[in-house]
Amino acid sequence: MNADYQDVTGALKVALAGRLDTEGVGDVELGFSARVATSAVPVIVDLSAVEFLASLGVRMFIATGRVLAAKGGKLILFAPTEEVLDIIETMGLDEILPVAADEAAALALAHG
Amino acid sequence: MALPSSIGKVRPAKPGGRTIERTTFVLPKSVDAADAQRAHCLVLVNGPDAGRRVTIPAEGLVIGRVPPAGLVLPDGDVSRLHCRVAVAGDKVVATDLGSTNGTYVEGERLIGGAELAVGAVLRIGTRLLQLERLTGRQLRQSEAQDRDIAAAVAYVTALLPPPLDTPAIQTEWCYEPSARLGGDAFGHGFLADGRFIVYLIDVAGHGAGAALHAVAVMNLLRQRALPDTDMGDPGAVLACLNRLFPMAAHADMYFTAWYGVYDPATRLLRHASAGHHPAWLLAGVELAAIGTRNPMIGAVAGRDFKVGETSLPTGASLYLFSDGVFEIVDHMARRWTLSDFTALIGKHRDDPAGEAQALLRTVRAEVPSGALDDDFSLVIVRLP
Repeated sequence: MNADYQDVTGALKVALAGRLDTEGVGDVELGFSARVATSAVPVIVDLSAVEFLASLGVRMFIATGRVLAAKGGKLILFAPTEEVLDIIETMGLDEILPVAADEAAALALAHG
Repeated sequence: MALPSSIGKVRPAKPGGRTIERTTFVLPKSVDAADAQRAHCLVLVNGPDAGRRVTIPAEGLVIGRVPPAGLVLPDGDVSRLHCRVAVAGDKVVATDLGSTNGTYVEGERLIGGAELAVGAVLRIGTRLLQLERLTGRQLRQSEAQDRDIAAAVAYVTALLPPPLDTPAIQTEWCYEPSARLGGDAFGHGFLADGRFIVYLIDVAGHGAGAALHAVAVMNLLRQRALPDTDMGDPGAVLACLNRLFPMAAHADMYFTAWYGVYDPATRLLRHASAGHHPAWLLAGVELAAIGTRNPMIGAVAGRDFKVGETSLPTGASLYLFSDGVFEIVDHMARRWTLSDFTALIGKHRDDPAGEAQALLRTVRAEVPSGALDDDFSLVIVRLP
């Protein structure tokens, strides 16, 4: 599991790649939480290369999103694969965090 | 941690004639040696006792289908005395004892004897065993963890309801905890007015923490002890759980849930799900998803939970399960989805072991190691 952090126009973009299962979350959670929770700008998370999203991955997004929201920040997920979107919808994660179709839509939500 | 064998006070001489009294812990050398000494173990990778760890004694370990083998694997493909594993200094050597189906090391059939590297996987029949090398301290810690997990499994299992067999409702279930122990729990029973409730929860994560969280929730539901809540109202039950178990106050743990209330008089099922995939209703040959869309329990405060209603025809069966029944990677390295499992529903109804056990057996056979990553929890409710 890899996480790549990149500053884009007025936001922090995190590109995750691999399987967000127990092991995958263990690989990236510390860095993700540290970078995202302390971000002064909205955070958009690219899920296009995430092959699988397990409950611990969902927990990582919710917990980090809550910390960001508490200080007025935003965490936006975008471009999930069909399989990952299915998991997001089943778990109701899209009722907790915004999920955008692509990066442009995510940035629009970030600056909206 | 090793306990001190004796505690003494010594008065070492100090320059200038002063002495300082201090307490010294004297550990026997044998304890240090035992901690430092490494033991070779075989860990059962698959099968019903996956995760079990067996130390290879100095005199070696014979593995076979029946005693006097030191490690008995009751598997039809294992010979009576199948193979021997012996420790020689720092090395471990496996020797096939003329077994019918052979002994395999890392996929290669063993001819005579061969040294096993730490981490190597031995295959005997359908069983896989991995060689580990642990210090005495690591071994004790591992054994203590195994005991904790076993105690948690026993506790969760003791809370599960006996299968129900009444003219109006029959149930069967299967609960197979993974080696890491997930956070599954389920239950069913009757309300005072004769309505039947059935529920299943799945706490995110593994280990004793997830299991404890599941047990706390399950005990409230079993005792019908939700404050100011009508247990016959699925939406109210989930809303109450959502108030009682916010993630922020429970180590960031959330859980998914499915809760249903069935009235035998009207054959009406009212149900609500929270972050959980649907239950499935089999009526004749028709299979239908039964669920509502709500977020998981504990994630968002002050939520209302949408409720659904379904009329259950005569002869219908309801299948309620955790994601551990379908989140597997099969022999073709393909990750299963929900539909892979639902395609099996109703196919094993006449299995002598029961449909729930047959479904477990079928899913497990699809996993190369035979060991499931997550708890397998399945409840089947039959409505004649």
